[in-house]
Amino acid sequence: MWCRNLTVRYPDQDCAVLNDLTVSLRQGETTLLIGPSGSGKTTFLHLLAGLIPETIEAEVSGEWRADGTVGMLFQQPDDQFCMQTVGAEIAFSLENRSIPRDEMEERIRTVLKRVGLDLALTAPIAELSGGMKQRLALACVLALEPDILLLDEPTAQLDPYGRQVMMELIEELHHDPEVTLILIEHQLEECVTFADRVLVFQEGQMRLDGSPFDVFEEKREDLTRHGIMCPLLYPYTLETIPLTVATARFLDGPPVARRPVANETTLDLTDVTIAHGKRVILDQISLTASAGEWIMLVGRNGAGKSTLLETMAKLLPAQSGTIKLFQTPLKKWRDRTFYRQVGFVFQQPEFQFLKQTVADELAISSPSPARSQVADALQHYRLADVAAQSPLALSLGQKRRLSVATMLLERKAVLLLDEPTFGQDAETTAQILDVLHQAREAGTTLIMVTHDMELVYRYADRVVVIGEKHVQFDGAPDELFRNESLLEHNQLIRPVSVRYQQREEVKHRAGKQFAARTP
Amino acid sequence: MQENNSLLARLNPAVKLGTLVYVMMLLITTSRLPVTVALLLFAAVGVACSGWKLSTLVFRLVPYTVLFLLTFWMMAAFGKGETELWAFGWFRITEESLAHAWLVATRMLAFVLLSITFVATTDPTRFVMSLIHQCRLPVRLAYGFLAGLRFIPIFRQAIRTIRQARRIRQQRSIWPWQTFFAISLPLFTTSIIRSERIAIAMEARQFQPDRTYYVRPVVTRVDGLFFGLVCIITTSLRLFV
Repeated sequence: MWCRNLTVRYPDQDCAVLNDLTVSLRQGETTLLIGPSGSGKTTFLHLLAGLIPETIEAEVSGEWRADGTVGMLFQQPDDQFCMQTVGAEIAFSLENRSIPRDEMEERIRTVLKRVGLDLALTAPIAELSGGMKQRLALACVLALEPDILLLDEPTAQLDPYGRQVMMELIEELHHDPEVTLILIEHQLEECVTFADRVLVFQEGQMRLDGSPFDVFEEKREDLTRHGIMCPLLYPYTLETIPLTVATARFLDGPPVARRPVANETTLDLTDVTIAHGKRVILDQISLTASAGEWIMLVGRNGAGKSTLLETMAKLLPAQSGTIKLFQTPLKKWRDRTFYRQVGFVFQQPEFQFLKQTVADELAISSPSPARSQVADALQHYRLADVAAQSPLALSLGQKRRLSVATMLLERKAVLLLDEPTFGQDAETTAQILDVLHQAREAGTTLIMVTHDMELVYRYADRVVVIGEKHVQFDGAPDELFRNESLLEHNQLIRPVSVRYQQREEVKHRAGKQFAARTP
Repeated sequence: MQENNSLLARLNPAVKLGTLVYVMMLLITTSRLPVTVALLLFAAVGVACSGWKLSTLVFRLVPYTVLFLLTFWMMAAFGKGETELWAFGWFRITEESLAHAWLVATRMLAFVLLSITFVATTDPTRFVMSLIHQCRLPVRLAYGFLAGLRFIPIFRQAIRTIRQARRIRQQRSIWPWQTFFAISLPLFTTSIIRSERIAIAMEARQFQPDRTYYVRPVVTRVDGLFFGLVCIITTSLRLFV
């Protein structure tokens, strides 16, 4: 597969997305594409998949060729299906290749087994978790029996557990000598260990091309200066990283410093039971939150974390038990006053916006907004340039910032957040955390659902594990990360920092000599 | 729509649809109450055979029963006619309007029952496949429709989130259409983006009209028998009742 002097330009843009690109890839090679967003990585894959210029309109000049069948896996697990059930969806790939009906059943079972999904063929797709959907999508692509497999950030929209499983599958595919893999991925840690070659894209051109070692070790500083992410540990592993490397010092760092939690109760839950019809989702949950406390809710998919959050926000009724805000039961609060104290940031920001422009969106967030207040917020959240745009036209990061901004324009007593950093890049995540950290310092209680354990380690005052309808753990993050069986049981993965520190501790202890025995 | 194991569910969906449409045509062409009632009873037999539990059936039929009563009352109390039976204020029930009310209300209910029979026993995927094979529906259109079906649960979730957001931010609209726009605009924009993504994903999987089929409904002898039998019964009901 190769391309020569390739230039691609989309009809509504002035600049070319890909500019005079020349590259050739060999069969069986695994290539990792990295670069900042908008550097043309995805366009390159679309071109190789034969989607440009037929399906996606664009002006293309230059020559290119891909020998063999091409299959492509996309980022959004939900947006790759067109059928209702697992069997029919994989069959769709086979139908396109005109595979006879009699062979389908067996082939479907084979690819399902290959991606480790043990599902009935009639299982509805809508009921699968994000990780399972993505594995099913991979199965559908594998059913095409591709020679070239293109993967466009396949793990970006998955939780850590789904991500881990997906990465293992990709590594397995890498070992298949027939398959040429081309991968865009931000989870560099796992990829660099098996990638044969790394291409760095920037502004439509290829900046660097070489083995992972050449790129990430020798050009590391160069990349970092240009804002391109590098794998944290590479070329070392957790076991071999020396203390002198900057990364190790970062890993060894303590959680973010902050003021101690005040002793003033805000939200208080006692024996709260929540049910959907007859099905009990959460049974007798008790939880007390204080002002300026950052609590993170963790647990498996479908454990009821979001449901709990909605109940605390007075959006879902509790079957029994009491929830109090400032010692007053939720039922006695009137909506108008309650929602001046409690904010809620939804997982999908686009459904949270109600107005036509960003400035209006901020203006309705407070009952009597001063003009300066809105202007300040626009500056603070770096939304001033887009103040007159529709919130729906913003980039993902901007949408996120706006959704948090609308909730924090007035100081809230409690802010509830449903996975605010999910699927965001490192930069956006850092911005959101910065804003939340400030809110916490100002005395707001933050209750946040998350899957990101690094966040739990760095920022949480308290972590609550929800599983099997109950609170399984409620305490300091440190304590949780030492409890092996609890972590495993709830599909939680310890963050790299903690793994590193625990390893160091073991080493440290092992280095000590036993005290001499006295006769 | 859902599929179950009743006899009606095993029929070819296109044939089933054709048969039910024929019965509906008969309903439209008659203005005699006995015929309509007879066809209504026939439709009721169909619903009874649909394999739904009685409780589900009653639950689903409640809104239509209300609609039935409302239609009946409207037609009866406000219809034209000479022979007055009962009058109170604006309401004036006459013999003619009463007869007319019976006819329209039973016809409506018969339509509802026939539609429910179809919906209760037909799997959407099989239905669309049957339209491809038996009615020559273009493949691109058919698969587009199937992909669109997946939006229904996604929409439901999105609408829920928008309502919650409006509650939290204390936004109430004065006019109902404001609520409508507030909810439909974000739904519309996001669904355009999504449908484009899905279309690209389908193309990437080499979607083409020249293909084999995993689900391939065929017309069997049972389908023919069903069609013939229903036609004969309903036509004779139409002619001889």
